[in-house]
Amino acid sequence: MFPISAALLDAMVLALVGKESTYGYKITQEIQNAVKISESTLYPVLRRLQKSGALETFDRAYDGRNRRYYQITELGTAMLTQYRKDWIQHKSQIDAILKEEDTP
Amino acid sequence: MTADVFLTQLEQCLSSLTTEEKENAMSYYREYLEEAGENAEQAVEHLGSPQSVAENILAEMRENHDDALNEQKPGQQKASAGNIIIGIIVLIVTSPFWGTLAVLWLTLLFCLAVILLSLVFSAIFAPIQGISCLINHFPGEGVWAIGSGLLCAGLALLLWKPMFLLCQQSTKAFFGFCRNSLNILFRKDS
Repeated sequence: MFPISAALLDAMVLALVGKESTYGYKITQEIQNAVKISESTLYPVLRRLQKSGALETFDRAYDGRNRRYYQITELGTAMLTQYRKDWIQHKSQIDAILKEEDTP
Repeated sequence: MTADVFLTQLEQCLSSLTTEEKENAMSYYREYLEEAGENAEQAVEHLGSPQSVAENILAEMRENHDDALNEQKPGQQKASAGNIIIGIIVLIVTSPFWGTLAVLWLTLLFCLAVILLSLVFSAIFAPIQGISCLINHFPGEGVWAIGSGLLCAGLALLLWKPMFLLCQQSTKAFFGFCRNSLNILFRKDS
C-alpha cells in the first residue's frame, strides 16, 4: 500500500543481514513477508550494498552446492545505525500528523 | 518456464554487462532457483520474465556503476591509445614553435633578473665608492657616484613590482599555453 523507497529497502536488507549472515533467497523471502516488492529487486540492492562496502560475501557449501552468504561490514553497521535514526525521525513526523488523538 | 530456460534467457539479456558482473548475477539467480528447489518453477513465475529481471539489474548498473557496462569501453580505450601516439607525434612536429616560446620565456626571465640584480648592486656599491672618493678628496667623482647609486636604488624600487608581475604573468601565460595545448591533444573522446 505504501511504496518502499530504495533507502528503506537498503535499511531493511542491512537490518536483516546485521542480525545474522544470510543468503539471497532467505533475504528475499523475509523482505517479501513484510512488504510486497518484486522478487527481482533484491539482487540489485544486494549488489549495490556489496559494491559500496556495506556488505561482504562468503561462500559456504550446503547440500552439495554453493551458498553465498552476505554479512554486514563496519561501514554497513554505521549506515544501519544512521538509517534507524532517520527512520525513527521520519516515523514520528508522520505519526504527528496521522495519529488519532488519545482520548483522555 | 523451467529454471534452465529462465537462466539461459537471462544470460542472453545480460550480455552488455562485464564478465564479472554477469557471472555474479548469474550465480545469484542459479543459487536462488536451487534454493527454491521443488518450487523453482513457481519462483521463476514470481521473478517475472528474464527480460524484466535483466532490466532491473541493468538499470541499477547504469545508475551507479557505469564501469560495470562494457558497451563502449574497448572502442574508447583504442581511441585514447591512438590519441596519445598522435599527441606525441604532434608534440615533436610542433617542437620548433613551443621550443621557441620556452626559450623566449626563459630569456625574458633571465634579462629581468639581471637588470634587477645589477640595479640593486649599483644602488649598494656606488654610494660606498662615492663616500670613499669624498674622503680621498675627489668630491666631483664622489658626488656623481652617490647620485648614480641613488638613481639605481630609485629605479630598482620603481621597477621591481612591474618586473615581478611581468615574470609572473609570462610564466602563467607560458604554462597556460602548454596546458591548453596538451588538453586539446589528449582530450578524451567522450
